[in-house]
Amino acid sequence: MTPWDLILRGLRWRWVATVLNGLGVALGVCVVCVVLLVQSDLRQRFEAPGRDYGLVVGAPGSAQQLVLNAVFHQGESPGVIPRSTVRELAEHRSTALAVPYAVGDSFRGHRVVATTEAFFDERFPHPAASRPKDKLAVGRSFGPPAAGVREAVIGVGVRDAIGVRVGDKVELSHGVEDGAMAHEHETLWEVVGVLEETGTALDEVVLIHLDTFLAMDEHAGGTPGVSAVLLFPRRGVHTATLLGELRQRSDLQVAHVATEVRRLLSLVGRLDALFLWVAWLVSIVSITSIFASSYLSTHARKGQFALLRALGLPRRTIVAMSVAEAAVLTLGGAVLGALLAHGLLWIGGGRIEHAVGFGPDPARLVWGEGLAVLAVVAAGACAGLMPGLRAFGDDVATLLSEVE
Amino acid sequence: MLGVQVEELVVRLPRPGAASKTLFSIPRWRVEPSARVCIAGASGSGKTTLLHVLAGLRHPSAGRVTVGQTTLTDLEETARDAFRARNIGLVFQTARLLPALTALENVALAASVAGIARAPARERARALLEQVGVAARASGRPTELSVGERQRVAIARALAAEPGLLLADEPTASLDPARTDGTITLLHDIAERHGTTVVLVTHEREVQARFDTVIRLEDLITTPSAESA
Repeated sequence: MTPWDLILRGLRWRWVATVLNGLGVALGVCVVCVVLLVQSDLRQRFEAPGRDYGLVVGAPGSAQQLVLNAVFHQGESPGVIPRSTVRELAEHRSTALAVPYAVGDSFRGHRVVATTEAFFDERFPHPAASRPKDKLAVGRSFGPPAAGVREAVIGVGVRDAIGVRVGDKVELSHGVEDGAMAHEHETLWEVVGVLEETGTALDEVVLIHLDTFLAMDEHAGGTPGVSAVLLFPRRGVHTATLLGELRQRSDLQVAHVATEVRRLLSLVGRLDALFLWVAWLVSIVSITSIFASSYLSTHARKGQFALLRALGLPRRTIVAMSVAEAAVLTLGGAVLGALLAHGLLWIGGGRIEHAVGFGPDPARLVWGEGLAVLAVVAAGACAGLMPGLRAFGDDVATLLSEVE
Repeated sequence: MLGVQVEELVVRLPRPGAASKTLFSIPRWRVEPSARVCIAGASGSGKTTLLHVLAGLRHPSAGRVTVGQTTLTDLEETARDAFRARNIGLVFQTARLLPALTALENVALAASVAGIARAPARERARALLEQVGVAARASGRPTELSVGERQRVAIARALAAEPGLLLADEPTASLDPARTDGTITLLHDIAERHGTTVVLVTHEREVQARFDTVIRLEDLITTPSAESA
């Protein structure tokens, strides 16, 4: 019989208390982990697409709407700007790279983004890749359009949701979401590549070449234009220069992506901080219950400790056993809680996605989960110190007499 | 088998806000190896405390306690714990078995604490349970055993490390007369078989009558109510 045997036998013997305490911890940790996973996914989705982006230029309107539409592929575009403006912006002395976006079409609910080869330029940031060739999981990027050649690159979300593969043909609809309608003439795009997974809205889009987009009858009418231009200024003061100049323009709206993302996150951040506090409160309640049951069991366990001391187990071993027992109990509960959190996200991911537009990846681990488990185990170990220190402090003869 | 020697032993009890009270003081006392000694005395006279001091569970206020060749009172607590685990078996008024463990495991635990490896500890526990007549209940938990069976398991546990000295504190206090007689017979048999020195304290006359050597605690001590500064 080792001290470990004694700990495990004790936990099994008091199985009702063990299960109740473990479940209490599990529920607390589960809530914390769900909040952390959702929070992390939300941040990833907001921060990753805008990371290293410079400016977005579009039609006059709301800067936030412009960023939401061009960077997060959400909502409506504020309007269209002429291609001549795209050229003007691309040739500006402060511009390193200009990537035009035209939106408004969709493929079975997935937004279509018409852009140029610049999307695959190494200066265009991709959340999951630093080199241009790493932006693609499969296949190649679309090249400059030749007569009759229409090529598309899809996000992994499109591939996974619809089952489209490289070599398949896709037909686009005019409009996005519920209002999408078929184009007048059937026009097909061949899928030539699949983007590397980013965990962002980019996974859900279909990329086609801007020229093939504008060549369609519905988009060719009037002044051909684009929805937005993602602008990457040269290093140094050029961001400020571009911002300063473009803010003077009444025909354009310019948005600094990082600033707008910060604004968005500050709104979301307050909410998820609130959720996190609630989750920690749940955990504190469950840890408090362990402290309470540990305190209540102190008297009952004095007899056991007195006997072990009388048999010759040193004080330190008994304190360590008491701490280890509480730590094992909370560790079991905490690990169960973390597994429960991932299980819940796995089971309820579809509902969450339906409700809020994104579903956290249940297979993903965030460092906060590890910290939550460690914090709970440390608190549990502290709870185990109470009866242990009681045994440590008391003379064994006194303990024996008290219990007798 | 281990003898016990006590010299100039003083045990004082602290009293809150007052000078400590001398519970007893024993100038000199010796128990020969393999002897079986019964200490009698009234309740509250200090019998249990004396046993705790002999076991190294309590440090005396003054004096020396030597068990075999080892002066317990010179040892640090950890060394005393280790010495007790290997050389002194304890039987209490109640069995004090751990409820989470079976009878066999309760006995094997004491052997393990004494440093005996798992398999030999279990073997020894099995043999001891056989000797005390509860082998059939080896896998039973304390709650499933009768009071008498529990006390027999407790005696087996006290002998698990093959101690040279067995200290028993009113081991029959919770037993009826028939079980009391059986338990004392068992203690004598076991001590005889293992050559163990036995010091048993009791206030029960029937138990005292079963020992050749009965010492009244009052006869050992000198100044039972002396006050010390």
